[in-house]
Amino acid sequence: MSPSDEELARLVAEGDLDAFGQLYDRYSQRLHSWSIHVVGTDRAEDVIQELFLRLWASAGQFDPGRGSFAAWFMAITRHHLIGELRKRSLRERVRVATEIEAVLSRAVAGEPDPAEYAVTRESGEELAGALRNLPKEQREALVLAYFVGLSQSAIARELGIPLGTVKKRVRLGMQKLKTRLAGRGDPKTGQETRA
Amino acid sequence: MECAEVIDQLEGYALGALDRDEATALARHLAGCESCRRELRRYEEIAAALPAAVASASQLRLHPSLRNRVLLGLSRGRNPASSWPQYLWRSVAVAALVLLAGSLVWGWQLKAQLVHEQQVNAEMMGKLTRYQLTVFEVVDSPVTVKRGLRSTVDPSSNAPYGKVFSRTDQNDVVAMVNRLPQPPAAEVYQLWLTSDGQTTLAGPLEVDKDGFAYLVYRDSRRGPTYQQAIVTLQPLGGATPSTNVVLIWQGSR
Repeated sequence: MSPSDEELARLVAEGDLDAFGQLYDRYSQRLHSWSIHVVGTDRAEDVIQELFLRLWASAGQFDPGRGSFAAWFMAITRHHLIGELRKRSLRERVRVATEIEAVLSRAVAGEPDPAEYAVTRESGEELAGALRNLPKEQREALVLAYFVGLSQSAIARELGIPLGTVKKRVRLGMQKLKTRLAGRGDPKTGQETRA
Repeated sequence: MECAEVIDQLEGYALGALDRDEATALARHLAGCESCRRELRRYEEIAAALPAAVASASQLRLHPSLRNRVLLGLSRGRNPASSWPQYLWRSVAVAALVLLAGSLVWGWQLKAQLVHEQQVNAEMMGKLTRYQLTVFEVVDSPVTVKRGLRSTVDPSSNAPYGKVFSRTDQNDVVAMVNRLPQPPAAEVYQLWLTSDGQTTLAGPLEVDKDGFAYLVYRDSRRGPTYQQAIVTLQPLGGATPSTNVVLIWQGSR
């Protein structure tokens, strides 16, 4: 049985390179797929390298009592990438969101999977499917908020719609993802309810 | 603030999408409400999984060689287990560079490679270390200057690329290139550096089977600055670069 991310993080904090390699294999692809839209091909690998060096240096600060390793590491990643985006114009940030939204609206990539990407795909496919089934406007709101760092107010201004509508899209989108991932709801629900 | 007011904002909070005033008020409530914290954590886990969904749906794949370079970076004193003895660090450094230069097939051979490198005798270490530690010192320092080499013909995300590193306080220059196809017979990739209007051959780049190569060049000046760096394809040596420029960087530094 594979060790959990949290167990690997504990080992990394003790200087275990093997554990670090396993976390790299689990997370590098998701960092890449995100950062390449934010900073471009040339700088994406630099960003990934920097984030993993940060992980190596600060793994001891991860506290499993406060959440999962994924939540912790993705928060670090998001902070870094949103920082990059804050240097850009709003138009550029929206372009990034449009690209990511387009990726999420497509079918899951069907190319053969190198072994190192297997974990990423396993953990991401279900959510990717759930996101694909969301109405576009809900998926768009989630992407603008999470990947680009726009507040709900900023999203409302950008889209020219009432703040209440944005809040509803965010709320419904996240609730549907939660329901879908928990396996409790009708998968089609996400395709029928629109804000 | 009551739970009923909070509950509809947890999704936005988990996405980092609340305005500052809303987020502050919500955080105050969360500090004293275990059930809302529990609910928030569910949404935070969903938010944290969103990048995995993008990775799953994306066609863009990370180049395997980065794994080596990340490990290379680790060997520059950033290990949380700082009590490791120096000789072990040197072994890690050598292992990472050997892999960087010669093999992009990392897999789970890392541990075995490290163990092997730890057994390298002192003579071998002496031969390897001077050159390879130069690479470390140049590519990873607070005063490193990086210059990105871009393909002159291929704009795609899988295009060849490279970097030229130097330091503001040293003479050594390190160049790394990646994804280059094997050169035709009788030709090699060469790095040329232009400074003060004069173009100098820094050396050949011998790509491995994965298209990766690096070289170390010693400039006569400390903290060299360049106006241009190019990688050409041409017969070995020569006094001037050929017109077959594969990668280029232009700048003012």
